Amino acid sequence: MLFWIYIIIVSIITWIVLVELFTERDWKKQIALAMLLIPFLLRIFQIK
Amino acid sequence: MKKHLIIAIIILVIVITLDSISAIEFIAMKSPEKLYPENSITKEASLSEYCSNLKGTSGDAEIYFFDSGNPGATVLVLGGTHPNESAGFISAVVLLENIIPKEGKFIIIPQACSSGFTCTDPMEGAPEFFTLKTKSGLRKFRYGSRVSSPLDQWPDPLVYSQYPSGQQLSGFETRNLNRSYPGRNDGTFTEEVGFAIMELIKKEKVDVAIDLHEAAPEIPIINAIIVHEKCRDIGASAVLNLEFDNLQYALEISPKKFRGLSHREWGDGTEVLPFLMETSNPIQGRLRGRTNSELIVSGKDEQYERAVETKSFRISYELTGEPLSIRVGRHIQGIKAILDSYNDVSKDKKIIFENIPSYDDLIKNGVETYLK
Repeated sequence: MLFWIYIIIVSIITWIVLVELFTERDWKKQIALAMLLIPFLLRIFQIK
Repeated sequence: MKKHLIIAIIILVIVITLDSISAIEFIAMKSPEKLYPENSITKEASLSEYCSNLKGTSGDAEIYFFDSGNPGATVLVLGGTHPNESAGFISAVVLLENIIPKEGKFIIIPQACSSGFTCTDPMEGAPEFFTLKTKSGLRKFRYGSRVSSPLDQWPDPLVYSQYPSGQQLSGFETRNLNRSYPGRNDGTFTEEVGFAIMELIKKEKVDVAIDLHEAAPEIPIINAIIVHEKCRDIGASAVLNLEFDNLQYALEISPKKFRGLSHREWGDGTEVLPFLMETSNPIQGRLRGRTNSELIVSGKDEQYERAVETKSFRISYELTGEPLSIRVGRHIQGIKAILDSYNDVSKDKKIIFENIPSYDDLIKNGVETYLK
């Protein structure tokens, strides 16, 4: 159960970061958001 | 299309590319290590034969059987209980790639905590692999984490309550195989690995079991043989014989109240005579400087040299370094000494084997000479 709660939390955060990435107009902030995405995506796919 | 949307799409493509590159590297860490057992091998198995819950998981470690076909004692050698203690793992590999048993049976598990070989410890800057130039060319070996991967067992509790004693340790230790014996069939992932090893010892009627470890140079228990009280005499005799070879080992008796350790739980819960050996490994130390694969193999670290020269610490560190060949040599010679001492006291069952290099051979020729 904890595993699925964890996956849901990571998925929600990833979704929020993705939405921010596409609505943010400052490219420097977009890069910062992109850096956040890398580990979150790896966690969702249980790679790292 | 608006400019910020184009930038977002470009960045997303870059993110997916970087993730794909990382994913390939991370997944490579999970592919099993290729080992080349000596032709004398009689059977290959895995831990799931002793605990079915491990089937298909990264805890299903390989087990190699070398049966001489002649009656004698059964010996279990465990490497990789802690996958960041490379000399334990490589010593087990040297044994399985060379051993020819003549009397009795050898069982070798080179990567006991196989899950820990799929990751490294966070915040340590540890390398993922180290390479040795063997007869067949450059061979890559995994350098892992002290404990099972968090992908296999998560989350860690704040306090780890060891089963069945209830002894309390820090939460991190819940994934430490050498705090998880005797384990349980339906316990945590690491407890199941511990349970499988206990079952193997019972079902295969193992007479002598040796667990190979390493520790930081500043830890007092290095260069030691730790024994359960029931095999104190064999341990003392082995230490004495090693002294004749000019190799110093301390004899330590397994503390009765420190639960979950191999030498305590194997000894209390089964008929086996358990031993644990430690060597000095600078890459595990807190004083170490540059942390890379070279340090695993050479064991040479400038910060430890400084500590020895300034007499700042009471540490066991040679100025020439603590190379892997010496650390493996100590383990191999220690195993030989323990088994010689066992043969001296065991009237009906002996363990006889050949084709294993001595400490001097390993120092002279290097450990890579004895790997295929």
